[in-house]
Amino acid sequence: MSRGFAHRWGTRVAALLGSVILAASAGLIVVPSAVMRPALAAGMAGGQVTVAEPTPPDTFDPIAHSDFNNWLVWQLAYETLVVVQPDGKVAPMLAISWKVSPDGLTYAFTLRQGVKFHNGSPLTADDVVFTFERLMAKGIPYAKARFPNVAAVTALDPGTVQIRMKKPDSSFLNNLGDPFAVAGAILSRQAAQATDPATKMIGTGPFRMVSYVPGTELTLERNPDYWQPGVPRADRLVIRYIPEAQTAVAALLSGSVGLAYPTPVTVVALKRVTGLRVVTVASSSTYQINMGSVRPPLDNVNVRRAIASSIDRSQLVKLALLGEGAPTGPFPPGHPWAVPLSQQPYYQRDVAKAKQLLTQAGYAGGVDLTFMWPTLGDTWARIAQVLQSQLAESGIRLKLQQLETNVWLDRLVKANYDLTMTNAPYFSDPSLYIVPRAGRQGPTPAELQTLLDRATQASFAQLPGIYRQIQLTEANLVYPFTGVVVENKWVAYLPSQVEGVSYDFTGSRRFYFSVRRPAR
Amino acid sequence: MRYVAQRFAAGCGVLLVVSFLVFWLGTLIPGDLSTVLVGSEGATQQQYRELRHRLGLDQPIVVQYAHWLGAALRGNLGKSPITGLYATAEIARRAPITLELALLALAESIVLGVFLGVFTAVRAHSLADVTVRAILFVMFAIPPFVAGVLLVLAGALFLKPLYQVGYVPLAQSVGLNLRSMLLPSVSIAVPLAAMTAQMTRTSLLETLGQPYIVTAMAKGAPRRHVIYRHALKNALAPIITLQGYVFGSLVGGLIVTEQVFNLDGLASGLLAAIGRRDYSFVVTGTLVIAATYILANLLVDVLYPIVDPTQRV
Repeated sequence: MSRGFAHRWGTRVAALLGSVILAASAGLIVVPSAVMRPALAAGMAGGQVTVAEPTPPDTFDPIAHSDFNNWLVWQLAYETLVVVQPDGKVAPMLAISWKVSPDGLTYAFTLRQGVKFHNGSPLTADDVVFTFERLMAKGIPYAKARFPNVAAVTALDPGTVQIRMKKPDSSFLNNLGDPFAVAGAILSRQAAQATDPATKMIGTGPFRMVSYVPGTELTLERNPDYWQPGVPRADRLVIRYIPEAQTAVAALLSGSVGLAYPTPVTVVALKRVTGLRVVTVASSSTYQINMGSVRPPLDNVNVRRAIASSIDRSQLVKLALLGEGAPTGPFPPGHPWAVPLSQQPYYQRDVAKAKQLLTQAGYAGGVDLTFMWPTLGDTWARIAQVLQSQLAESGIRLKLQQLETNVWLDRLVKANYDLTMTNAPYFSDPSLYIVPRAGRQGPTPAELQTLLDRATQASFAQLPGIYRQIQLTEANLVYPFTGVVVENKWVAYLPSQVEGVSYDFTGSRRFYFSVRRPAR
Repeated sequence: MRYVAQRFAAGCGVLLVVSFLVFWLGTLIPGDLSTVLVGSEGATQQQYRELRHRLGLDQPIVVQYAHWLGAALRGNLGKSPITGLYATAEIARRAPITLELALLALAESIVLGVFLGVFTAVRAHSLADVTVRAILFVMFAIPPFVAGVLLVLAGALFLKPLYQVGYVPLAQSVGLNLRSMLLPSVSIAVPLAAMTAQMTRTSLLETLGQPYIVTAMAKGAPRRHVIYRHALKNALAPIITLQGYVFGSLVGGLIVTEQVFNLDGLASGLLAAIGRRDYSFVVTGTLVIAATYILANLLVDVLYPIVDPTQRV
């Protein structure tokens, strides 16, 4: 075989291949820029804003999901009768005013006039009646549990709704006004019967849904009939779902999205990028340690106290959250009702006391426990590892076990675990920071149950005092969970593409109403 | 023809068995649809019973399967109780993405792999051969997720014109579609090309040593004629078998690539569906993958006698 010949052939093939690639890439590069980035047409004052979110919603039905990440889109298109503001005050929304009877059993809401759903039908009292009927018939347990004491919802006239309660409920208005529109989002009877709310949002909110490519991209546009003039500012909002953190960074750096939510790992690099702005907030995203108090040795309160006394929250912040967070109890630290950690029993690390408590409980030689957590991100694994080393010093040996999220859920809700961790988002109903969840742990101790019952019946003014007592009692019993750390959150955006960004501790996306594309 | 009909019938049997296996295996995993709907906030035992009854999860597995099969035979492969989306519509939307990615990656790997295979075979044991093969080893050793993440970041920073995050349908824009597919397909094609190149080289070397090649050379046939007409054509059989296998595994195995490049294909859809215990999607998706596998292998078996006359019946 003569080399020359084969070589010549090789070069020919290479040349052919090369020219094909060149031609192809030339074709690729010559893409009309209008296709890539819709130009701001005249009259589109707010322009289009494109953002990246990590978690796509599984459903658009506001009575069908208990995960915070799924709620984030509901608040863009749905509205509630009242709304809880970040400062905790209850403000009017679809109801302009409401009256509560002296016995706390009847609420009468006067509806805002001239409000239209995205399908053009007007908001009437009947839609509110329908919303609650549907919730009670089809809602998941979590959604129904937001309104355990509602007895009946009736339309007094097209503009007035009456809600009667089985018993007074101090949390009622706070749940009705959940800014994430969980369970209380007002649906249109006509629209919900024609279109499955799981696949399309037809609400009264500032944005109306244009299209959704499941798991990929949600397109919303300004609701021209919105009752509050000038809201929203953007004409179009496109949400692209990018679960992979590095890919979201790439999308932001390449300018294909204007705003994204970095993770604790990707934020480190993003903070150094020029031309990019990163906003840090102390969020309400609280990690809590749960103990399976139904089974030995965790049914013994002193074992639970020993575990609680072994936790070093400052070290957890430093090592597991890379310094981006703060120690916390059940309430996030900024909450007006949070009891300072220094006043809560068993919240300070004390290894000697932990060993003593274990000896008292009859476990002088230490205990072996399993710590399980779901596959929901690196932070969970880091917290688990740091906890393992902290607890080991008191003789509490942890076996670490990361589980597929639904396998974990199955064990969590059946109280089939030793130790685990949960993450609580912002709650507009403060009781959700402290109440035990059904099935997740052993029976509620009598002294705690008494306090919880008192809280439900109390007036809103009495609540801070009772909640303080509940926090102290729960810390003393190390039941139903103990707060450990609260993490920082970030939003990163390109000022050349987005303006009007204001992210707060609730994690709410309501600031999308005020973002717009900067005028050139 | 009769052979193809037989294979087709056998394929349908395989699909039936696969659907039952997936259905049954799904019930063995802890945590079902009711767990997903309740979420971490918990529910009372009574609420669980009601929910499971409403979803039909309290029926025996055989009854649930019979219901599903009955509906499936009438063309209704089910609707997710969570997303409200029909399994068939979702798969019809996602399958073309995966299929395009797999076909592109396969085409790239064949062009590059066969070229490199021939290149090294005709230069066997020369410096060029050793160098190229060393590079092939490195190509083969790079896991697609490493290549993927590096390409995503490189794409965002240096190759902006060649890069588009997420999928753009072919019908919407050919240019954007290719941009969204180029880097992902390259990340998969690299190790595949290395495999194909090795296979081509080995197979071609074996053929080049055959007496009929010596005869062809001796009678003075042009060299490239000998290599491409006589040798490569006869060396193709094992290469084609490899491609059939590779394609089958690609369709179900692109999960990492789809995730990294944010492509909403079949594999990432399956992962999400398993995550929410959406078994109508999982069963249908698995059936599509199994069917692709069966078809790809059937195609290889049909092509075989065409390239290799000794296999003709």
